[in-house]
Amino acid sequence: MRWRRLRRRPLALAGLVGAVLFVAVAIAGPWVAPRNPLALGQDTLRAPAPPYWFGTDELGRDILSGVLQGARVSLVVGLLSAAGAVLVGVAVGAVAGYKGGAVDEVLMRVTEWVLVVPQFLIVLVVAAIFGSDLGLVIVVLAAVAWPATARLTRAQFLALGGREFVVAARSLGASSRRVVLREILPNALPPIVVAASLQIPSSILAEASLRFLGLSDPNSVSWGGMLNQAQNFLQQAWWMPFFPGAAIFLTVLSFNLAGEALNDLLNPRREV
Amino acid sequence: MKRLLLTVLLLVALPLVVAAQDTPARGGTVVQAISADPPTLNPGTTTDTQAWSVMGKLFNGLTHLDSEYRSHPDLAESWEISRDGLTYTFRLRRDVKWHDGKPLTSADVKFTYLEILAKYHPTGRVAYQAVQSIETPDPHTAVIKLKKPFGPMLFMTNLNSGPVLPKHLLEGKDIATAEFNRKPVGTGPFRIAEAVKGSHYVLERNPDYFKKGRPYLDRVVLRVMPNAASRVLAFEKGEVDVLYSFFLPREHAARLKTTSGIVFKDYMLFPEVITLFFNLKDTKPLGDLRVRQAIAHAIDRQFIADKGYFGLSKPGISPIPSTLAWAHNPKVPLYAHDPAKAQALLDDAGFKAPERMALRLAYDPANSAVNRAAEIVAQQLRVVGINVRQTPMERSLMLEKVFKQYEFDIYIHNYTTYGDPAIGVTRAYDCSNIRPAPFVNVSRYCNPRVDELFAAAAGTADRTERARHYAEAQDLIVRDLPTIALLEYGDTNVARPRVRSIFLSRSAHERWDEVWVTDGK
Amino acid sequence: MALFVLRRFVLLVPLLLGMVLLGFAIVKLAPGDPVQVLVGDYPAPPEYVASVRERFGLDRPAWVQLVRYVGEVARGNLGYSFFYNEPVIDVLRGRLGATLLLMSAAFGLAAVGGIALGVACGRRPGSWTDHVLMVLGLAGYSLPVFWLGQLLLMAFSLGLGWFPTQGMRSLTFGAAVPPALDVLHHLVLPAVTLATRYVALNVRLMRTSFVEVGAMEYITTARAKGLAERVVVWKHGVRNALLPVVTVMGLNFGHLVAGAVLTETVFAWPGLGRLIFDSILHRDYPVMLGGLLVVSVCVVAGNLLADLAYAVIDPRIRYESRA
Repeated sequence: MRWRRLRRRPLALAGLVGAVLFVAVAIAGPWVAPRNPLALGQDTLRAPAPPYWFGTDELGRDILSGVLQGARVSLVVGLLSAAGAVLVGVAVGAVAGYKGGAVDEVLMRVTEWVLVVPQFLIVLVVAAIFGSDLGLVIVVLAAVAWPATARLTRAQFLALGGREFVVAARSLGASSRRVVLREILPNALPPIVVAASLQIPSSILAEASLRFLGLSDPNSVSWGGMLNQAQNFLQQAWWMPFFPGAAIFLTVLSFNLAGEALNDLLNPRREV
Repeated sequence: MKRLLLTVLLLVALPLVVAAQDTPARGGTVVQAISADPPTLNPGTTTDTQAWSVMGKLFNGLTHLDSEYRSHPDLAESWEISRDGLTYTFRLRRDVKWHDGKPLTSADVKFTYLEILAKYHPTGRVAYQAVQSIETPDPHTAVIKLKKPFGPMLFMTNLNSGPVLPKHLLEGKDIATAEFNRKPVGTGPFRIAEAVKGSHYVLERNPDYFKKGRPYLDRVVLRVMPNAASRVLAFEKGEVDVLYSFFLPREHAARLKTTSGIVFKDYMLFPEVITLFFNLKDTKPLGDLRVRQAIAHAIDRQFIADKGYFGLSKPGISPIPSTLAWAHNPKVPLYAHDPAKAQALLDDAGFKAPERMALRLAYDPANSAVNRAAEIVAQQLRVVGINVRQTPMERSLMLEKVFKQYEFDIYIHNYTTYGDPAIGVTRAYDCSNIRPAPFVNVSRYCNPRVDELFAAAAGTADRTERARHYAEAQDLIVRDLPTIALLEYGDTNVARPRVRSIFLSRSAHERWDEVWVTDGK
Repeated sequence: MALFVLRRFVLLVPLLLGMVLLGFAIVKLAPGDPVQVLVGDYPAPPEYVASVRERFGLDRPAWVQLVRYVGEVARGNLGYSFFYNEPVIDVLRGRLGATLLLMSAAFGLAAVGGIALGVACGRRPGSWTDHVLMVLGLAGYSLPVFWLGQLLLMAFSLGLGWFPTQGMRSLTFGAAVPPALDVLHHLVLPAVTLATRYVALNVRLMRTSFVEVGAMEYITTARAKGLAERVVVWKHGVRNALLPVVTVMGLNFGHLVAGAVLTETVFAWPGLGRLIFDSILHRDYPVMLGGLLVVSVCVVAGNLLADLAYAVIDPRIRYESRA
């Protein structure tokens, strides 16, 4: 029934399709890419035309192949750091909301602190100083992105904590762990899932931003890194920034649209 | 008939126009772009390019250079070198005043060389530590006595490595925090009029400059423009008049050179060689000469020069670049690009395909001179079956990991010659420079014969003799292959057509007193 | 009210202390030796290296350095820059103005543009305008700020030549353009670049909020009373709908800083964000720490302003001190 409503919203559908496509490219990219994106060639700075559909850069590397291959880094970082952020956020929010009292107070202070601090600058500082290794970037991005989920989870727990089914479970002698995991969490989940789905595009953007500032791993191709390289060729080769940037844009847009669609499916309340 | 008249008129008028264009005129402003704020304005303690672009025009050396590294009088009007090469006697001009009105004396020279440059100047240190003593028999004579003959001594008295500083403002001050570092006082053609961090620096004419009628310009403005592409665009729009090579990305230099009317010159004071260092001691495969030869054959230096550096750099030949023509040896063995031969050599050395070996390639990713070369070399080595992992290391990390802990297999860096092999090249190859310090002999190559040759070449001021020693040393090094000279780094400086008499010296900072503009603006 | 502000300022102290601790921890854990970077390319004599180390107090144990640093910061001294060779305060001061200008211009654009467009959507939900603007809003929200900057730069500076490509002012002497106009000319593209994401965000927020406060009901009632529609929309609808927007804008101040770093990079705007990034690359830790601190203060101040604005807009809230 809800699905039918989704069909009436072509944009949301487009978002879902785009997100699925992105994941497919990220998985299959290396096989569909026409050439090795790192391979050098004599055809340098070629405008888009067959056989280089997206043109080539100043060392003759194929931009189409780079865009296809670059999806993987974005996907890995986007998914893993969003997952990390959501896990930490849910854990912190659940404990704070369930325990209440001093624990809640301390956890919320920390949350507020992370929320207020200029997060991207911290990510930048850490990546610049300790190296822009993929794993580290994922951890750091997750480490600053969790507070929103934590607040949301806490609010859900506070709201659900007093509900009959929770009280009933508790009075039947269920352990805290059981109450939290079996009773409250499943019911608190829908808005959290939506928040998580919206965390993916912002993680992708944050990762691309780091790469754009030059903090990238030269052994692999990334969209942000390609844009960084393009910065010196804006005058000569519009295709160098255009295609990787468009890839980031479309991916982020797809995930945002998909997130909205998810929101419609899971939280049908808000229909205007 | 009419046409003839016109032609005659033109023939008469043309030289006039040209003459008008070629006679230096007073007045006008030249705008130069720099990439960042200078860290200090004290030329005695830094070789920072930003800083020198600003303060270089405020000072003089005893001598200045021409485009062939020959020394000419500047603060010194003449000099003599004793036959044993141990005593240099400089006679100073009598009409030189500091910007604050005090006269320049030989005491300033003595103080600068012994108390500042010998202690704090990154390159001057090398030369002035060879100084035994400086005598000042009168205010206009400085007699420099050396501990032992030192080939590059006269060269080192140029502005870049021998800026003369005012004793009366620096004596007894903490060199690191002295007010002088922010408000420099020199003898040069310009003085600082305005300094706005992150934006611009304005230099104005020094009205009491000792060369009469100089400088021609009223002002030199240095704009801080961190974005390379924007610097170039500003140049093309005419908002910037001069771009020196260190601020001009190669991808743009190639295009600008072919733009009509643009004045350009392809050199700078300290030619650099982008050099690939092998870790000879810790990396087993690289201890084998065949492997190093294979790598040399696998690298297409022409591609790096043409595509990576837009034809503005030349493939490297030997550790001393051809731009230092008097010392360069072009007849060393060349390792032509030949992947098949590389594969055969590797097979021969026992490293079989498909993945013959894994190597770590270290470089500084923020260094635009090398990051491109590193990227290309990595890919070219992968083609012959060497699994190269690029390990970019930001500068302070690189100084630690590469130069102290030797955690690399291959390392690429642009080693500068500092204008003389005795200063810039020896350090990378002689046995005494195998030590945990930045930018020394990081391959840990040691060949006693090479050491002898370098020592002999540094011990005399006779260029012909020095050249002979250097030629043999280069041949030995290229055969032993502790390093590969990848590229002679191309240095293209450009100026707008309105700017004249620029690029007279090898140094980007000398002889700004001669620069003039055609439109007086 | 004054007490409320005061209390917020007191809360600022642990926040900033946390920032200092974090920054200090990062610096101490950082690999490499900042002094080596400082002394230049050519092998420096050990005595010189040692003297530099001593001058900046880098020869002391970490905790001594930390205590000393906190003490100095409390007295308003942010230390001395390795790289620029002058007090950190002076280094920052030069850049702070540029960043604040850029950020407030973007903020203003985001507020004005976002609210106006949001109301346009909210007044006629489901209309054609609404649909188009909502899609554009989502698109704007998904644009990477640096890519947008590059595109605008290629189109309007390199292509059409309408705007300068970089920097904050041109330096032609005796120019016909007054300095303020010149800065404004340079400001247009960076400000638009930085603002786009927030315009988009605000449009969506404002629209939802406008619909949810039931602005339409006000309008219907007002119309029944015979009041002019425009007055009603702005006085009742917008004022009430603004509250969540103000909160979110306050919270987004930190993100705005991130956008500023990227925008400053594309357009070479001489701002604080870029300075902090460069200071990391130069390993100029005093500037980095000082910069982070100043940015944190700005972000907190932004939040505080948002709270105050909230109080001004919402007649129900009064920050009384009785509690």
